[in-house]
Amino acid sequence: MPMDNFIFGRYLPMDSIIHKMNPAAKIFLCFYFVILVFFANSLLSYSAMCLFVIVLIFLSKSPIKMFFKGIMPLIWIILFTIAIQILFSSGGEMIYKIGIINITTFGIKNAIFLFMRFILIISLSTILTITTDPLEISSGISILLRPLKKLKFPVETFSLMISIALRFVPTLTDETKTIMDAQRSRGVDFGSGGLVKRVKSFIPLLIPLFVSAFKHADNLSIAMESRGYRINNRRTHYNNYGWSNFDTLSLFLAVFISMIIFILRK
Amino acid sequence: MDNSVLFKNVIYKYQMNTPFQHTALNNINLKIKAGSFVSIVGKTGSGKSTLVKHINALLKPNSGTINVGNFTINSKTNNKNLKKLRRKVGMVFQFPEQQLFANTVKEDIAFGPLNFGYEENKIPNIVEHVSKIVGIDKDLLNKSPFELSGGQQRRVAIADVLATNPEILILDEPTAGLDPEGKKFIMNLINDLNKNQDITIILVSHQMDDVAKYSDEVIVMQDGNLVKQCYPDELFANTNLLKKYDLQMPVSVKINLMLNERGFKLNDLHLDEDDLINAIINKLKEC
Ligand SMILES: Nc1ncnc2c1ncn2[C@@H]1O[C@H](COP(=O)(O)OP(=O)(O)OP(=O)(O)O)[C@@H](O)[C@H]1O
Ligand SMILES: [Mg+2]
Repeated sequence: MPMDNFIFGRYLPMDSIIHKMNPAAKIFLCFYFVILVFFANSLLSYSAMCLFVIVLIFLSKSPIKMFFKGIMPLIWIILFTIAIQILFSSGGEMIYKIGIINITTFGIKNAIFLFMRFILIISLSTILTITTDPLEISSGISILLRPLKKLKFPVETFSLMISIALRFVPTLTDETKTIMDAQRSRGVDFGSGGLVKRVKSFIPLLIPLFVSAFKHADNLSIAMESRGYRINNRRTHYNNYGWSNFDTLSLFLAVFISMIIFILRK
Repeated sequence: MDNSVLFKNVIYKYQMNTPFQHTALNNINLKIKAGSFVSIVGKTGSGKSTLVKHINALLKPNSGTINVGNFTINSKTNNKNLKKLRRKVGMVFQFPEQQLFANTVKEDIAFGPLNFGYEENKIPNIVEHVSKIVGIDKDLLNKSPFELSGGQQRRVAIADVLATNPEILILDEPTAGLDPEGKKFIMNLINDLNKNQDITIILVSHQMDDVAKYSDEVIVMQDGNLVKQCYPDELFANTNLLKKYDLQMPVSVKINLMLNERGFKLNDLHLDEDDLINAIINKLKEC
């Protein structure tokens, strides 16, 4: 099956300790470290965080190229935010001033931190998606959401929704490609001409795609009901992800890293 | 104008420069003569669809060139200026009914010609003409394509492509998922287009009966390589070749073999069922 779907296709099946971690632990830690990034506020604490992420990348055995691919789509947003920081912040020593443009040491320092923050967060989430199968992610999320059941939140339904959505990403990507090819053969030029023409050229793509998505939903719901699916019943799962010593260790490691960051913080 | 199709050293890899890189076409050289009926066969995943997508530049080769009439496609071909090529080369995909989108059947059929800049006052004639060819009743033309049955949708999708009046028609498993009646109708239609309107047909198919019966030439793909291009009788007369390439034996060949085993020898291999029946009758008369 073709696997070049753009969002979740980044999963690389490999054999590393990060790949083997419990998905719930991995997702929790990923969020935890992303939040931790926001606590770093000095050169030292940022460096420590970077060092830690580099070690993680190394441990995950993933090619560096994949990380650049994660950053590239966001590069303009990153550059824009940085430019605003550099050009318009006040405080610190003034280096250059013209009109409303205000370059200060403070601004430059902030811009550097902001840049590192972006890179760190993208790298952390990339490590998660590279090392975790989409199905593992959805099962991990459902485990993490389990406490919400007390609040009458439909956890089982919600997690099933996520796994079905993930399951259909490759299918719909494939269909998108086929339909685009078919309409191109009929003389459609996607993404050329004026704005109105461009938007219009997507109608022959979107309508068949919706039709097919509804068909899939219809077929799937019939298949599920005929196999006894009832809403919000507790289900058992095909895969049960074990908890290893390394998962416990990683939680302790997280506490340890947090301590380091808080010590190096100003 | 000679509209032959020519592949020269064509290489295509999916997902270049990623860990998933996969060579789908490995140095393909071939020639398809204008006006001929050529079938492309091979196991699933052997690269048939990838091959035909190069003919109207939906995919561009990593290296090598493709000539279609006076068009040349290579790795540097610009995505603009492809309209003339795509107008010349019609493409019917597997499950083409997926491409239907317009409010009415009529509008769906008119979509291609409008894109290719046909004059608006000619459109009604075109719609009427092609819907007759594919056998869609007049009263269906104002219905939504989504209200039609699967078989009718397939016909509309084929009409969509015929409406642009292609000189080369590529069909990727056009009969998949149809009932025997519908299959026969589509195959006769394709054959008719080839014989009476001189449209070059390039058919991708797993139905060896159709391939044996209709094609002038067969191209066999295996693991991204073109392993054989020959006349159908040469391929289907040779059971070892069929085994080697993982191809099914057409029913007509099977009957031939079975008759042979029982000592009822026919002089030639007959791939068309009518020919076969006649040959058997003649032979019986001789006895
Ligand atoms: N978008 C894609 N990304 C990656 N690999 C692909 C892609 N599309 C096809 N492939 C691979 O390329 C090879 C050739 O595919 P292709 O679709 O041309 O085969 P096919 O001969 O048409 O098969 P079938 O008879 O099943 O339609 C297969 O191994 C397939 O897995
Ligand atoms: Mg195919």
